[in-house]
This record gives sequence, C-alpha cells and structure tokens, in this order.
Amino acid sequence: MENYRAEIIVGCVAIYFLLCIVVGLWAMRKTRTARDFFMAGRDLGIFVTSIAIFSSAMSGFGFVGGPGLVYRMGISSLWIVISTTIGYAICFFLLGKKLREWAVKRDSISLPDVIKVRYQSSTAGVLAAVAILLGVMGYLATQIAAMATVLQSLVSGLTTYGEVSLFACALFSTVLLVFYCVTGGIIASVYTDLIQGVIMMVAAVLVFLTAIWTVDGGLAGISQVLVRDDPQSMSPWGSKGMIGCLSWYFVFAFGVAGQPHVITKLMMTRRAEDARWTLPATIAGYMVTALLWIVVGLTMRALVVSHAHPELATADSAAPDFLQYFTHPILAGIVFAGLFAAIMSTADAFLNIGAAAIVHDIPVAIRGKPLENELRWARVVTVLIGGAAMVFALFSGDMVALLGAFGWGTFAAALVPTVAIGLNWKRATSLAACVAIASSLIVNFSIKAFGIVVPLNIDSGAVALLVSLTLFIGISLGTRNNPEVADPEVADPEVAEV
Amino acid sequence: MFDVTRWLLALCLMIGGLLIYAATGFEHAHVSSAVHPVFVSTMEVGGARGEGDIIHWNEGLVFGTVVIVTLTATLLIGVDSSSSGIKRIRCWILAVGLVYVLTFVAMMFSWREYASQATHELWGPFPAPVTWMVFGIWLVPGLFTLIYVAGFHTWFVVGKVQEDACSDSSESTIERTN
Repeated sequence: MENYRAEIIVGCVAIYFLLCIVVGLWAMRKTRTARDFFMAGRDLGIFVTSIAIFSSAMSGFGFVGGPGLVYRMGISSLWIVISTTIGYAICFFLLGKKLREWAVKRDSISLPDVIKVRYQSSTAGVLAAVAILLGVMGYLATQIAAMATVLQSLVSGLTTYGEVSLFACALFSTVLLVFYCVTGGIIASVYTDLIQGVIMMVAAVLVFLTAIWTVDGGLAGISQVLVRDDPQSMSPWGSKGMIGCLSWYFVFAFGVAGQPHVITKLMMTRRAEDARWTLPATIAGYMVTALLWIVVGLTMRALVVSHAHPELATADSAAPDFLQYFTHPILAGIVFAGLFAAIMSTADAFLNIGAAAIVHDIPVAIRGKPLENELRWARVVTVLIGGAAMVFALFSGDMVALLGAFGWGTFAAALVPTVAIGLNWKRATSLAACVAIASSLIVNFSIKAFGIVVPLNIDSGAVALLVSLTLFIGISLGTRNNPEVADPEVADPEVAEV
Repeated sequence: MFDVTRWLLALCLMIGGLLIYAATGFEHAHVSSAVHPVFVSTMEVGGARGEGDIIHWNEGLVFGTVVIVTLTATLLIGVDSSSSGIKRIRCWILAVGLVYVLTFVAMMFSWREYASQATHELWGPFPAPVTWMVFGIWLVPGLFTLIYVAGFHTWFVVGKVQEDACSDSSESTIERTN
C-alpha cells in the first residue's frame, strides 16, 4: 500500500472534492432568493450551525499554521486554542439571541446591514463593509494560495502527471470553490461545512492517536523530551513570552465575537432557542479538531530534537511531514481531505460575506435600497471575487500575507465594539461606531504596513482591539444618541445598564 | 444602576496602561525570540525573554487577572435585563469568574515553582503549569457555557423577545426585490 501512497491520498481528496460538487448542485435547487443565498433561508438547525461555526473558524491555519507554530515556539500558540471556550461563550452570550433577533425583525442579511440599521448611519455601514471586504480579500487569497500549494505538492507525487504549475492548481481550487458557492450560496457553504467539519473531527482524533503512539510514553514521553531540550518551551509562555501570550489570549478570546464568517451563522438559525445547544456543540467540535493543532506540533518538535527525524525545511512543514512519514496512507488521505476541508470551509464563508458586502451592503448604504435581482448579482460577484482573490494570491507578493495577517485583528477591533457591545448597549452612538471601525483599520494597517515592531511580542490585533473598544465606549459615553437609535424596536434597551 | 460598560472602559484603560508599562518598563521588552542552538532555522527557545518574564512575575499576574476579569465582565453585557433572576445570574457569572481567576493564579504559582527547579516533574501528560493551562484555563470557562445552557430560558431568551425572535418574518423585503 505504501507504494501507492500518493495515489491513495489524491484519491481521498478527489472523493471529498466530488462531495463538494454534489452538495453545490443539491443546494442550487434550494437557493431561490438572495436571502437563501446569504442567510440559508434562516433555516439551519443546531448541528449544522455549530459545525459551520467551528469549521469556519478552524481554517487551514489551524491544520498547517497551528502545528507549525507549536513546532517553532513550543506551548505559546496554545493560548490561541484555549481562548476558544471563553471566546465562544462571549460570542453566544452577547450575540446568540441578538443577531438572530435583528436578522428577523429587520430582515438584515449581513453585519454591515445590522450596523447600518442599529446606528441609523450609512457611514458606519459602509465602513464596516469596507473593513470586511479588505479582511475578506486577504483571508480568501491566503486560503486559495494555501489550497493551491498543498494541491501542487500532492499532485507532484503522482508520477503520471509530472510537474503541475501553481497557477493550474490555484485555478482548479478557485473554480471548485466558486462552483459550489455560486450554485448553492451559503446553503452549499454550510452543508459542505457539515461534511468538512465531520472530516476535520475524524482526522483530528485519528492523528492525535497516531501521534501519541509515535513517541514512546505518549504525550508524557513527548513532554519529557521537550522539557529536557528546553524547559521554557514547555512552560506556558513558550518562546513568545508572557505578555505576548496573554495579548494573544485577549485578542483571540474577544475576537471570536467579531469574526464575520463566524457570527453571521448566528443570523441563519431556524429558531432562537437553537442557540442554547449550539454553544456547547460548537465548543466541543472546536476542541476535538484542536487536538491536531496541539499534538502534531509537539510530536514533530520532540521527534526532531531527539534526532528521530531530520530538521524540517520550514516550521509549517510539521503537519505535512508528519502525515508523510508517520501515518498510514489512508489516514494521510483523510487528513489531507480534512486539510482541504479546513481551508475551503473558511474560504467559502468569506466568499459569501464578500459578495454580500459588494452586492448588498454598499449599494444599500449608498442608494438606500438593494440592487434589482440581487441573487443574480450575488452569483456574478462571487465569481469575480473568487477570480480577484486568485490573482491576488498569485501575483501580489507580500500584500497577501499582509492582508491575511490583517484579517483577524481588524475584524475583532472593528466588529466586537460595534456589533457585540453595540447591539447590547443602547448608549452606543453612531459616531463611536464610525470611529471604532476607522481606528481598527488605521491601527492594524499602520502596524503591518510600516512594519512597526510592538515590544514583548504583543499582538498588533490586541492593540487595535484595545484602542477601538476604549474609543467606542468612551465616545459613546461622551456623545448624545440619535433618538431613532434608542427605539426599543431597533435596539433592546437597558441591557448593559442592568 | 450597574453599568457594565463603564467597568469595561476602566478595565480597557487598565490593560492599556499595563501594556505601556510592560513595553517601556521591562528590561527585556525589545529582546527578540531566541533561536534554538541546534535547529537554528525552524525552532525557537525561551532564552532571555523567558528569563526576564520570571522577574516580572507580579506584573504578569496582574495583567492576566485583569484580562480575565475583562472577559468575565463582558459576559454580563449579554444578560437580558428583563429577566427577573438578573441578580442570580450575575452572581453565578461572577462566581465562575472567580474560579477562572483562581485557576490562572494557580497556573502562575505553578510556573514560578517550575522555573525555579533544576529538574521538572510532569503532572499528568504535561509539566504542572501547562497542565493548569490546558485542563484549567481551557476548561473552566466551560462553566459559563453550563450557565448559558441551564439559564437559557430564564436569562438569555425570555418572554416576548423569545416569541418575536422565533417568528420569522414572512414579508421579506429581499424576497420582494427579487
């Protein structure tokens, strides 16, 4: 079987791709309106919603970048993983009911829509749409680049096909992604998320078991090897340091409630009560998939420091090398399918909210009404965004990494104050919302674009979030509310002032 | 009146102040991560930053505690004020917040002891401070989830709001436009 390793892996991935196409075709029949396309007809159940939420959050970064960070820095990046229990709790406490309620009462189909109505401010809506669009392009381009790179490495293992260019792989990846997003919109996206989430969980558990059997003594054996090599890397702070790790914890715990690809799913549920069980199901799913992030990085670091495996070419090779050298070919195939699942589940969500920003949010903010035949335009724009992201991924060099890194922190800083806090606090004002969103863009982009090194490895997103939260609350307390905003039908009053 | 957002503002200012103090006051603030002595190109070790962190243990304890208090305070914003059991839910959230802070404090003490030892015993599959981190700080906030599930109809989706939220609008403006 080892002789056909590459073929088996590619076969597993091909089956998964076929499943995505089938789901896209099935979802096309259910997508009749723009609300179906962007909001899945607000008909998602608990299981589908929870899997869609955690699989969107656990992107290719979680399956490749995460183990790479653990390999490179030791325990440091576990602060990102462990922030999820409090992060999702904040997300559901603040938005589990509110977003569903706004989606229903105001027929909102996107976050900028909600922001525009909540603050009675087109400027706030446009700023939110721009912040989302910038983050989306960066995230989407990095996901397509990652998918193309992994696909190229897999296909190059098949001697039959010889060398396949990165462009061809990027084109194939984009066409596949765009196909099921155009045909089935968010319905295809969430139901492929369902398949993707299940594959990710199965892959994570199997890899976890394989990893602890690879090193004598299991997890304890791995820890002993790493402690002997460098005790600090197996301390809670790893090589990033105490303040840097805590800044990660701060921005990732708060940031979940500002990730548009995560929280828009809360607008799509069938019933408000579903939020009750969606929260524990989401956390459980994320924790299972996070096993891969934790254990593969530690295992590869232990194998390398004990000279059982040569040093990796790059830290990000931790997961691919582990799959290549230490797993059964079928398991490797399932995990590679899981890796594509992780990438695609995030990418399809971004494709959808990017299309919503262009087709719905910006026209509504400028013209005061949606475009004619929004559904057709949504499909056209989805294709255009996919194509633009592919070109961006292939030809814009450092700009992709810049916008990719820019994504999480910007979303957190722009949307946590304005959406998570603002929907629960009647004193929040439109001026405060506009300043908070603008500050998130300025702070994040300045730090990245000018290469500002924040001391102690403090995360730039944490700085931006802190600035925007402080400005948002401070300005809201110091300015007067638009009387329309205080309308109890628009915003639920007296929630923060309990 | 108990205005959570004013507390949140104070906590944000405190976090900002602590970050500025750390960035300007820690002697190892501008030390970059140390490379591994053998695997130079792909691995890092604690190095000078790790040694410096233990000197600033007190500041780390305060910073981490303020972050956790901020996260806990944020949860209070999401509790429905029309609920009659508002005081009870606030007490439950604060009680779990206290356990959460104590878990972090326990991890910090465990780390200080770990850093002072020449040999390191494992506590379960990891060194003791990492065990506190993984099985404590990761899992304790799960108690907030229990509060959410147990009190869902009492504190989060109550009365008329629940009915309104459940009845989806059949008159969709978006459908009308298509």
